[in-house]
Amino acid sequence: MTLSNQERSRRTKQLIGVWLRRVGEPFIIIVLAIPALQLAYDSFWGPFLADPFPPATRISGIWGMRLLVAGLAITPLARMTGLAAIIRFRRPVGLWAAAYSIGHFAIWSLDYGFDLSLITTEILRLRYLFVGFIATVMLVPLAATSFNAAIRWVGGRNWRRLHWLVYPSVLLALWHMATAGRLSGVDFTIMSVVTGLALLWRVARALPKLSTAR
Amino acid sequence: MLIKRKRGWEMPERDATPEALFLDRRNLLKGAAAGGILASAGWFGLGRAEAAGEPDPSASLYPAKANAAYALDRPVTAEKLATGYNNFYEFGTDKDIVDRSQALKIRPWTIKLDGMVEQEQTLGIDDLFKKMPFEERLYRHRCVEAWSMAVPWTGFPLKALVDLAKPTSGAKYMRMETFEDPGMAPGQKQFWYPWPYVEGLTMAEATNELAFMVTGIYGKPLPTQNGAPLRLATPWKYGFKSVKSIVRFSFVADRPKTMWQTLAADEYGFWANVNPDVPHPRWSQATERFLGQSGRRPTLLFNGYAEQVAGLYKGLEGEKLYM
Ligand code: HEM
Repeated sequence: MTLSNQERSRRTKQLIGVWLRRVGEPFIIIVLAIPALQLAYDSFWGPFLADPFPPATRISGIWGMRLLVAGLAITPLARMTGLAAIIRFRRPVGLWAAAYSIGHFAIWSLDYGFDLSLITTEILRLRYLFVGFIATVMLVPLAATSFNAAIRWVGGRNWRRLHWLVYPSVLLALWHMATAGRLSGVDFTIMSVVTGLALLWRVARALPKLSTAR
Repeated sequence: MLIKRKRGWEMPERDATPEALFLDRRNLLKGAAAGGILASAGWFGLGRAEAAGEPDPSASLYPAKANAAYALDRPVTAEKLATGYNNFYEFGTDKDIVDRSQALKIRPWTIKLDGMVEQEQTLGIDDLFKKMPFEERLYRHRCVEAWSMAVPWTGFPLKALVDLAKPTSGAKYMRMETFEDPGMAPGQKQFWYPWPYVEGLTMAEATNELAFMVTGIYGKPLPTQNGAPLRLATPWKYGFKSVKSIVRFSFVADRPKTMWQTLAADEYGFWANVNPDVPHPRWSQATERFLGQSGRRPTLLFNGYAEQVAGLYKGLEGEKLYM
């Protein structure tokens, strides 16, 4: 018995899908904890010991940004490659993105001793902090509704609408990153390009739907 | 009865904690974790200079006599921190440049004194050292990035070098320049930085008693990462003014444009005097993180040296003195 090329590729994808589900998801969850563990190690026992706040702020922010952007890219990648199973990675990647971003804010706040009036003053005084803060605030409802029970509670349709918030959040975070100072050009370029492509892809898909709805 | 009033920055010597004691105390506080770090001090480049083997030709100058007039209101920073956490963009933009900076060859090293001087001079660094009055001073050091430390510097007053150079009356500023050699300093291959590193002082600042040429730290010759073999310490200004590994002093009529002014004039200006009330465009300068201590401490006007230097800025109120 010979399989058509089409059938063979369908089966391969199915197999990859099964593996991605069984091994891939737990693997992603664990792997994305590594930068946090490394950061904790470097800060408390390693090379950042002398003055951990600047590198810890920086590195947590960069990982928040990387994962936010990676999260955006998953759905387009899944559709384009036909590997629908990687959609499952959206949740762990998105949750870790929120964790690193909120952690970044927490580290910065800890640097100022969690002094609420000082933190408020600084966020209101400096635009790049304000922009980053709004980006962070937008991520909170997304992270909070990442669990099946929460999705059921808000309803699938509302949940999807709510998650459009991720776009303004990432755009604000990119703006924040670009104006935060020590811009790492390579990282920033990659993140902007990926964000731009993911956005274009969404818009391109949404357009025909909008026109048929009319 | 004659009572000598102590100036703000003068403290009884006993208040300056000896380094060893300070390390012990930190060890006790931090417990096993800090112990582990000390055991693996390689991270901080401890003992690297000695490991290199070649004796420093200026080693006999150390330890120099301490000048008791320059004491501290806080403990001296642990040596492994002060010699392991360094801004030196010539070797990289992060603080971990200790290893890379070992490539800096500090002998032979010549110093040029030029510009508006009676006669231009080029001196070997050790010949210069022979002419200078060495001493040790305890100084605070405040980085513009809001971290700080307190270190025992060895060196000589910048004024002694100015006197040696004999500037003419037209000289209004002193321009200082770091070595330029991308072969030794990979950071200098980054073409978007306007190398070499240039800094400057007014003649009044350069001849102020606090302006200090540094050749050593913790009673030993400077390690490369701290700016060997000759760097500046202007403790009332943000650290980036304290140019490292200097090869040239020029006496000039016009205000020199510093490297950081070329890069970001609105963030790092010519004056750069420490002032807690004038924030950096991206962060507050009201407080600082003292290396090795948790929490922040208040930043002092002119980093606590107002009595020495505030007078230098009379009549300059229109300038951006704190940027
Ligand atoms: C979605 C939320 C956020 C993300 C993804 C994010 C990400 C980033 C990134 C990528 C950088 C640049 C790091 C570098 O290139 O060196 C950065 C810098 C910075 N962020 Fe955020 N940020 C967020 C929110 C915030 C908030 C709420 C604050 C504080 C109110 C904050 C404070 C800072 C500071 C102080 C820096 C400068 C760090 C430095 O100078 O190295 N960020 N952030």
